[in-house]
Amino acid sequence: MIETKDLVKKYGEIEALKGINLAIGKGEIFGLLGPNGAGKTTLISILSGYIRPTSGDGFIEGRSVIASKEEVKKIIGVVPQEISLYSSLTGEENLKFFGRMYGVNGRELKSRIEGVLDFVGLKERKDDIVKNYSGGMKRRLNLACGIINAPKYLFLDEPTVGVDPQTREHIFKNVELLKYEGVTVLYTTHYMEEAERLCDRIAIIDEGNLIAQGSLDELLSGTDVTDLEALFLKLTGKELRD
Amino acid sequence: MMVAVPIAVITVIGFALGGIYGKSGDFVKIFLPLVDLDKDSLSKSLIEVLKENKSLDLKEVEYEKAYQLVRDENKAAGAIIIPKGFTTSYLDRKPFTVRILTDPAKGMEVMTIKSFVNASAIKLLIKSLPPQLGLSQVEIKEENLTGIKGNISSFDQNVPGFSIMFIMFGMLVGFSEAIFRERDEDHTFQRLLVAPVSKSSILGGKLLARTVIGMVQMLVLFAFGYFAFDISLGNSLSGLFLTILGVAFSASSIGVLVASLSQSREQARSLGTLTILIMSAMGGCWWPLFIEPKWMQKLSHLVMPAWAMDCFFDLMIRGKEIGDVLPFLGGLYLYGIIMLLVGVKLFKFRVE
Repeated sequence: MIETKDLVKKYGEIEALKGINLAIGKGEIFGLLGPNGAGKTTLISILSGYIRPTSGDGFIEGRSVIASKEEVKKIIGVVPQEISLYSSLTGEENLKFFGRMYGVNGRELKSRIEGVLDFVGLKERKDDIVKNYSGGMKRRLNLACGIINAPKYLFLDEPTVGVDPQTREHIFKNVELLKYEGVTVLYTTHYMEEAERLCDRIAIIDEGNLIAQGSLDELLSGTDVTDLEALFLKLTGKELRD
Repeated sequence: MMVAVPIAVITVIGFALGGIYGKSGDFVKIFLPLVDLDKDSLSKSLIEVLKENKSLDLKEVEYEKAYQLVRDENKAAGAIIIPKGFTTSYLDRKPFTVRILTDPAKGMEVMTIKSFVNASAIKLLIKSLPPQLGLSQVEIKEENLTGIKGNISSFDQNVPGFSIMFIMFGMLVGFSEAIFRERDEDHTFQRLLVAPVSKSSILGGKLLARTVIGMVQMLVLFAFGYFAFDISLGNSLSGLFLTILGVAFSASSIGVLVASLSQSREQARSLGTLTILIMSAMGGCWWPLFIEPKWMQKLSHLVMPAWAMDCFFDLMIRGKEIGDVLPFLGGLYLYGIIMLLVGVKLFKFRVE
């Protein structure tokens, strides 16, 4: 289970998160929606131990992401919004390197590399240098590097940005398979149809505030809108954010 | 930076070479101990002639002190010994000898001293001696007190000097640029920081890899210098190895500091280049330190190459053992440790 308690993050005068309280159940795909600059990436960065909150705390399986950061890092996987790969290494070398960072070695590492390459459909291109990959292949390898440690909790930060429909569909299937294997997924996106299709529950945040959370049906009930996009625009407004 | 870097380099090099091109008052004076064992009229005349040379800082000392200054303390590149019987030989119209004790590690200074002594002897002959006594009557006998080989070539200065400079380019610019690429372009730092490894392990691993690469690069350059140009490697290969390791480590550490002080890859490149050129000029990579003004020589150990060049000269040219260079070796490693600690303290693993 993932929980946050009164999570606040300030960057100087700017308050990126204003006391977020969330609870994500085990095995759920939890969607985090919000306009640009809403605080989605900041929330994932805090939960993954990448940045410290100004106040409040996050808990994964009851362990604080501040006090037990190293333990938490062992059970989570992170797929950052930016492609985070060594462009001069091959796909397999990237996986080998990041696998070793999690203490996976030898046969275990070899087996996991084969598994994740198969999972993301890059087995045939594993020996190619990453800079020669297409955008979609890089996205898939980015995902593969995030699950090389077989995490129990996976944070996906806009994993389908800039990819073609085929790659997006492939990533959706990957996420569904991971859920089937029992992985809890925190998924941020701008695309409402992704959230509608994949997520068991959804939270909408805007300007650092959590403004709605629940299942799709729960979110839509009692409103005059019929889809998530309309609800999103109703809650967050139509003004440009960047 | 495009203007600041050349201005800074021109300024440092201008000051460094001021002793050669500067006003008369700025000329570098060569410290030259002199032992007068003769204490007679001709030796006194020779001393007077030598004193007329404004480029020499002549000081009469005892015989043992001359050895100490050249051989043990390396404070003087050479010392003149005017032997007993110098004047008598002249009066008897026999050939007479001037001995010069030398430290070949200070090759250029030694050459200058020898030429000054030669010139003074000629002057003395013209002024004092009967015409039938020619220059062939004056013998200048050199005694190499420290060098493990007699003739030091320019490669003995240039191989270590330029190796240090190029290692700094590889380590310092390469390291800091790699840091920016990984943090801001490849974003791999982000992935490393969410893995269960400490920040010190991440930075330490990168530092170790760069240090090993730099060390191998430098070993290859020294091997090339040995086989192609017959440079001396000295008597202590372990000392040489530790010095090379220290150079690679310190250069990488300075790379961490440069990366910490820079806001972008381009800034790191400019700051790195500036640092390397100034360190090379001040630290004696391009020319022997003695040609620099005294005030600059005193500041030379503020930069890493000066410590390294002290080690290399003592080990490779003077043939000293590792124990003899421990103070310089300690300075080299301490320099790297201080740069690393400050660099790590200021280093930003992420930009918020």
